[in-house]
Amino acid sequence: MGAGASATQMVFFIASVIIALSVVGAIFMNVQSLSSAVIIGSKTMSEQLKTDITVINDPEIIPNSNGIYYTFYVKNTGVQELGTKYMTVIIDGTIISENNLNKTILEEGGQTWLTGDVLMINTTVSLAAGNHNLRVIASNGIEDSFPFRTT
Amino acid sequence: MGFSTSAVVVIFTASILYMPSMFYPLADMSNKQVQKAEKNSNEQWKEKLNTKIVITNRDGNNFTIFNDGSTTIDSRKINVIIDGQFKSVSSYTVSPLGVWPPKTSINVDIVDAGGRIKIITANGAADYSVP
Repeated sequence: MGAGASATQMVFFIASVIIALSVVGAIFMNVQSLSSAVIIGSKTMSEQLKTDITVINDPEIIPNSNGIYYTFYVKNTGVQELGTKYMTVIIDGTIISENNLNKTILEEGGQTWLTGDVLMINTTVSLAAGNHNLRVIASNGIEDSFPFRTT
Repeated sequence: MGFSTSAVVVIFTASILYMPSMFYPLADMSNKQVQKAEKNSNEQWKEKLNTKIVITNRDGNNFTIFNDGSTTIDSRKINVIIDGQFKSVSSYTVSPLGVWPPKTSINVDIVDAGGRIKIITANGAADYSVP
């Protein structure tokens, strides 16, 4: 009885400790992933808050290279440096594919779009004369809209 | 059985104390980062809303631009667009260069000033001039 009871208690003890540690381990993993998500979320949010872009073209005259491409100038008016790789350009609701975009940072060059820099986007697209709408969306989702006219 | 319960209670209590102590500093740091960015964003908006420039005079290639807002602008960071084309800094000269206080004017001399001119400040505020 004495030895049997002790053995049973020991088994119960070991089992309960193992179960408790498993539960704590599972919760710990969740807390860690939650912490990582909070850090990433706040980093993304603060980047978005610091980002601002402005299309600075003259809406009356959009540079047009013999009907091949239209040139748009977008200025980084925020305080966050941006990449130019994952930008989206939408004209009249249609996404312009990456193959039809040629992006150059004016004056400075390079791939990092710093505060105050102007990004020139040559957009190979066919536009009928009349009113159009451009939307430029930065890699972090911040965008600017720009209504313009072509002749 | 009683000993097992005690062990489990100790493990749970220790983890309940440890986990928030690990999570809280990170959450607090993240919150502060967002608050700082929000403050930055509000300042940017305030500056943008208080910035206004007006082209008051056009004399050949010389333009007088008046800071009609309540924000000090950096005249080195203006951009010029002539007839839709962006002009590089070598195409125009600005004087005085640098601090451009409210209710003061700067002069911009543009090489080959064409028809429609658009002057843009660092935060995107702009004005047009047509001959």
